[in-house]
Amino acid sequence: MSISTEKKCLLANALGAFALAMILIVAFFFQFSDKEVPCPLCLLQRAGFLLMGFALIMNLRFGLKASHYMLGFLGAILTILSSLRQILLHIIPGTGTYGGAIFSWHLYTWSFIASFGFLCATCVGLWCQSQLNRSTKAPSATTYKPLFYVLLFLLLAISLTNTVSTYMECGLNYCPSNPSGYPHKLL
Amino acid sequence: MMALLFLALSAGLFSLLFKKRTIALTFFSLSVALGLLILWHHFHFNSLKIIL
Repeated sequence: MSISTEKKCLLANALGAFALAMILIVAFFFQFSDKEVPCPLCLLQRAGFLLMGFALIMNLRFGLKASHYMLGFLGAILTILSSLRQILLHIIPGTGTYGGAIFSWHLYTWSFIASFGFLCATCVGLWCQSQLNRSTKAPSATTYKPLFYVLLFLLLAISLTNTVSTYMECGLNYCPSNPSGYPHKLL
Repeated sequence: MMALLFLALSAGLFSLLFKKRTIALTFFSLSVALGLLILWHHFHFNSLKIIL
């Protein structure tokens, strides 16, 4: 694989991380604008998206590696498991739904589609990785250093905001199945 | 428990800032383990409710 192809792969990783950050920001928008308290499965899906972003950011930081893609796989599997569980909970007519909808599909359905898409994209990334010629010097992180810092701080801010809001919702215990508000005070 | 998961994730992302790969991987593994534990707890608790 030529250096320019590797640069393209790194850029694709950066775009992927940005898309994942946007998904999490949309989830926050629904949480605060519609005053929806996220359920435990919704929070697990958010964590899964952050894990996927984490893996892509590692590719940007340490260069393209198959092991980083496999970390993203783990995050995607966790998201798929939790979103599929939530879809199945509401699949029977009359069992109701949870949260808002975009284009008449609920967020957990979109979450399943997005994580499945991530799995497919990771397969393409791994295929690119297998084509990598070890003799070419990898541009790795130095090429996209400013982009890396922007994405890292974005994901870090999202992760810290999630930590605070989850603590206020559940404290340090397991989250209730039907959360009603934010009973725990931060200070 | 979920807050701890997000805290571990934040710590892992923060360690990337200083290029600490091993620490980042440790926090990543901790987050995945916590996530699977919470998911298992969710399945187990709800399955028990249905059976009982």
